[in-house]
Amino acid sequence: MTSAHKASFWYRLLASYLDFVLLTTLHMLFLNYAATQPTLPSAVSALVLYVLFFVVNPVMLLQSAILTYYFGGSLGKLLVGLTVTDEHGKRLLFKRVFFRQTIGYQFAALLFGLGYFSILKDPNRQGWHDKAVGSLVLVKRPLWIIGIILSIILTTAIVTLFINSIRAITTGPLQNEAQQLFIRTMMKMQLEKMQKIPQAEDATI
Amino acid sequence: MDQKPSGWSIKSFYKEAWQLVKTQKVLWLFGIAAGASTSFNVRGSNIFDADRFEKLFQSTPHGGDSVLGSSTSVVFDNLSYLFSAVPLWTYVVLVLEAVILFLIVIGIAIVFQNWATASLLHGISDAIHKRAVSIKTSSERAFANIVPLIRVTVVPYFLLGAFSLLVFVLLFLGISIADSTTKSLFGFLLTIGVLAFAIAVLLLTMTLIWAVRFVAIDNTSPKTALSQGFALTKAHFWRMLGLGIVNLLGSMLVFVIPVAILIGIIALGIISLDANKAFGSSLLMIGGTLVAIFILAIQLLSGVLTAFKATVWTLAYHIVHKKHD
Repeated sequence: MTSAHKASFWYRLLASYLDFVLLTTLHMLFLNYAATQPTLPSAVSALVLYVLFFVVNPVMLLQSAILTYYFGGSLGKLLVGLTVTDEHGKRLLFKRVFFRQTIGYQFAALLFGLGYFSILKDPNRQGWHDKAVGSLVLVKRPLWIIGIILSIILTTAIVTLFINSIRAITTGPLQNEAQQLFIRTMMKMQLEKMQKIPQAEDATI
Repeated sequence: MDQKPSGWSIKSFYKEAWQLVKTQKVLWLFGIAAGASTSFNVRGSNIFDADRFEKLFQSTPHGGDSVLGSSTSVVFDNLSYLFSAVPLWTYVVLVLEAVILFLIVIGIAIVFQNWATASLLHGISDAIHKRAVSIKTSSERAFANIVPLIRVTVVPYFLLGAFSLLVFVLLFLGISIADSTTKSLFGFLLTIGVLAFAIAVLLLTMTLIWAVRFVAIDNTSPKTALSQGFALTKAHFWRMLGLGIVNLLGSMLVFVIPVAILIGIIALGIISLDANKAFGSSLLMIGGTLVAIFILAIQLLSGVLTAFKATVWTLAYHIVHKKHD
């Protein structure tokens, strides 16, 4: 085993939280863009692009594996100075990285995430996903302060974007257009119903 | 010193398996993983949103209005308006992405299932031979078995499924276009076909019980594992069926008894509410708490059960494999 400093549970939790807020910020930026569109069709178009880039995109599923293989960790881990290596401090093979970031995480999430909490008691600070592939998470540079500051900034940004989006939807042009569309639809349906009634009466006579 | 399993006795299998499984928590984990990976649920479920976008723009014939009502054309008009700004290339890319994502998710699920199975079998093997069982050692040895296990499990089911589908489609076509005399013949053939399919699935399932152990424990090639597994199944069919039925009944008891008790408590609580509100409410609260605990514990319980049944079959494997050697 390498003698380099192994990252503690709390350090890794910070990195994971940073990953989460980075991704959520991107989601909120896109959703905010959709919410501030002037018309319903353009808002729907923005939402479809959001689905295209973030929901259905296979790259989103593979991005942490790709980053971990090429740069030694996900974005959150890199920003706080952590790196993922094998038990000798060397780079992991791509199939091990892919296994760790997909199946390994699912395995560690069993029993309400017990595989992650096991890092607290493990002498090598390995979770179940680390044990499965023989990986370690090491502290390359102690940048946890940057991680905390970034987390606070991004969390604030997410909350702000969310509030702005709700405000834009409830008070902006989209709400007016949606109301008008609803009223027009109801009137159209009523009209069509009224037009059919005389035809039905004629048929019975 | 190796632990030698005794002769084929369901009682001794159960006793030995329980001794091995109750202390090896790592086997429970692999048991949960082997069970959980079959109901693998990831964001892949979101891919079906993409299908809805395509279906929205399939034109409905105007005659459909008289069947579905006037609201259909109004809804369609509104949807056309809402999606009017979405460029066409988006739908093409969405469908492509959805298909790729779906294939990746299915691939991951298959690898997860087979890795978990191989890890469980290696862990059981270590426990039987009184070696330390750990996630690290079991997983490391399992990596070499993933591809052979996929070939052993996925390929036969796929071939059987494809062949059966073809036969059933031909028979259904025959029934639909044939005259009344020939129809009854096709109907009879269909009945035979269904029975044959059920027998084939049973035999394949039984063969795979041995085949996966040949691959994981003895590093046999998939083809050899299947043929040897089938030979063992033919030689020990009734014993296997007996053990399988006992396992099934045992599994049902493990889940049915707690569920029956819970239903009893809740039913009694509901009935007692009219007569004695305090007693009825207390029973309902107890029942609700027990249901919550049961839901929390069910994942662990099913993992222990999966590990236990796998251990029973592995002990049986050691008996029959050595008798055939």
